[in-house]
This record gives sequence, structure tokens and C-alpha cells, in this order.
Amino acid sequence: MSYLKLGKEEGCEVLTGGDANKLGGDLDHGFYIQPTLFKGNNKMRVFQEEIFGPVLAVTTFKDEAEALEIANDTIYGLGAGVWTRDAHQLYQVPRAIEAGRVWVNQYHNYPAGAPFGGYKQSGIGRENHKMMLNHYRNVKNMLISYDKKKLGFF
Amino acid sequence: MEKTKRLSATPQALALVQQLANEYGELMFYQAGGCCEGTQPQCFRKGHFYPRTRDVSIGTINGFQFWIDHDLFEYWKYSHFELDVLDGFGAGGFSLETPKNKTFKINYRIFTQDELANLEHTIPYHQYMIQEKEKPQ
Repeated sequence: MSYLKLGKEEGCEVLTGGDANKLGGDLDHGFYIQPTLFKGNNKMRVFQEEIFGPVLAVTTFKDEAEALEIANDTIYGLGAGVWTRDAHQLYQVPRAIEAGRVWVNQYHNYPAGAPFGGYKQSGIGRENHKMMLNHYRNVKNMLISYDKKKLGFF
Repeated sequence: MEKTKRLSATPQALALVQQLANEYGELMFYQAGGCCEGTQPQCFRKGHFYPRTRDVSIGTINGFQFWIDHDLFEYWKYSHFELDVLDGFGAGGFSLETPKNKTFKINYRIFTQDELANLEHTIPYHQYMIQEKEKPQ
């Protein structure tokens, strides 16, 4: 509820929702909020912070450069999503977004073996991928002579 | 003209802070954003959490520093923080009020232009540590 109040104070346009959701009956004393859609600017707190609830903050962009600038103007970088019909963009834009995982033309796949983790303040390192098993291994270096004769003094 | 404070507390929050101080001694608050309980103020015993060197203190509650992540402060510096307390189990469980079935929360209010021009100074953690060291023991 603090975020809903904050979004309005920051000057967001409330496209839908924006208040507590009184559902009546058995759910009357529940802590529900209306599904909320804010339209505003990416510098606003409701854009920069993760709101745990059915709250989405949307903004507009004019071109690819501005879209990337907005996408990367955050201290976090765990996941992102891109939709495009342009075959160049669907490769280049995800590469330019500073996030550990970028979904393209979908936001649904969670392959168990795919590396997972964030850029920037969203974390250090990755988990789940086969290469992460290396974190649990030690490097052993064995120096074996196959020569039946002694080498040097021993 | 007196400077505008960035931080205040409700009487209920102050009473709980006093109660925790009686039980645990000196305290500190930290708020960092991010996931789960990070978006809420967390109350620890003083020295039981290490802020980053450039994290800032936006003021004190009952004499105890309230620290904020310095990256998020860039967005949070325009809001007044009022420490409040609710009944219920908080999002994480590390904060000292949790076993009392209480949870601290912040009520935000955006500063007016006049207030913005006359705000109290904040102290970065590294500067605070130097001050603490120089205090007579």
C-alpha cells in the first residue's frame, strides 16, 4: 500500500487499480490489492524497486537506443524480456541488456540446466548450469614419471 | 531556520524501539531494497550488520543510526521516512522485532520543493566510522 501511495505522489498515471481490494465474504479481512498498472517515468521509485504484488509500471520509448537506456537504468539485473519481430534486434538487444537472463518473445521458459543469476546488485555468480559443478571441485595436479629409471637423485 | 529531518517515528514504533533497546542494548537500522525483507527497515544490534562504506545514515531513532543503501538513496533521497510498526510476521525474520510478532515498516512521503532545499545532511558510513573512532572512550 505504501508503494501505491508513493506511485500516485510521484505523479504516475493510474491506468487501472491503485487501491486495496475489498473482496467481501471470507476474504474481507485479507490483505489484497487491486491489480495495478502505473504509467510514468523510469526514474520514479515505483519503476526502480521491486513491488511484491500485482503491480506493473509501464513507460514508453521512441527507438531502440532509448529502450536500452531505460532497460539498463537500474541497479539490478536478474531478468529481462524483449519482444520484437526484427531478427537483428532479437539477438542484439538481449546482448546489450545488462541482465543475467533475457527472455525473447516469451517470458516462460525455466530450463533446469540453464545458468541463473544476476548482473549488478542482483547477485554474484551463477547457479544451475553444468559449469557450476566446477565450484564444487578441486583442481588436482599430479606429476607422474613413467620412466623406469630414476630422474636426477631420486 | 531548522533543517528538515529525513526521518521520524510513530509513538508506537518509538515504544517498540525502546523495548528492544532495553532487551538488546544499542541498536541500528538498515534498509537496502531488493528482494523480500530488504524493502523493509531491519533492526539489528549495533555492529551486527556491516553497511557498505558509502551507505548513508538519514538520521537517528532514539539515538540509533538508520542506514540506507547508497545506490537506492539516489532514488530515496526525495522521500521522508516515518518508521512505523504493524502486527504480524515480517517478510524475512532477521529483524529483532520478529519474535514479538511485530514488523517495522516505513511510511513514505515525497518532500515538497521547500523541504528539499532545506534538508538535513546525511552521513556516509566511512565518515561515521572515523567519528566513532575519534570519540573519547
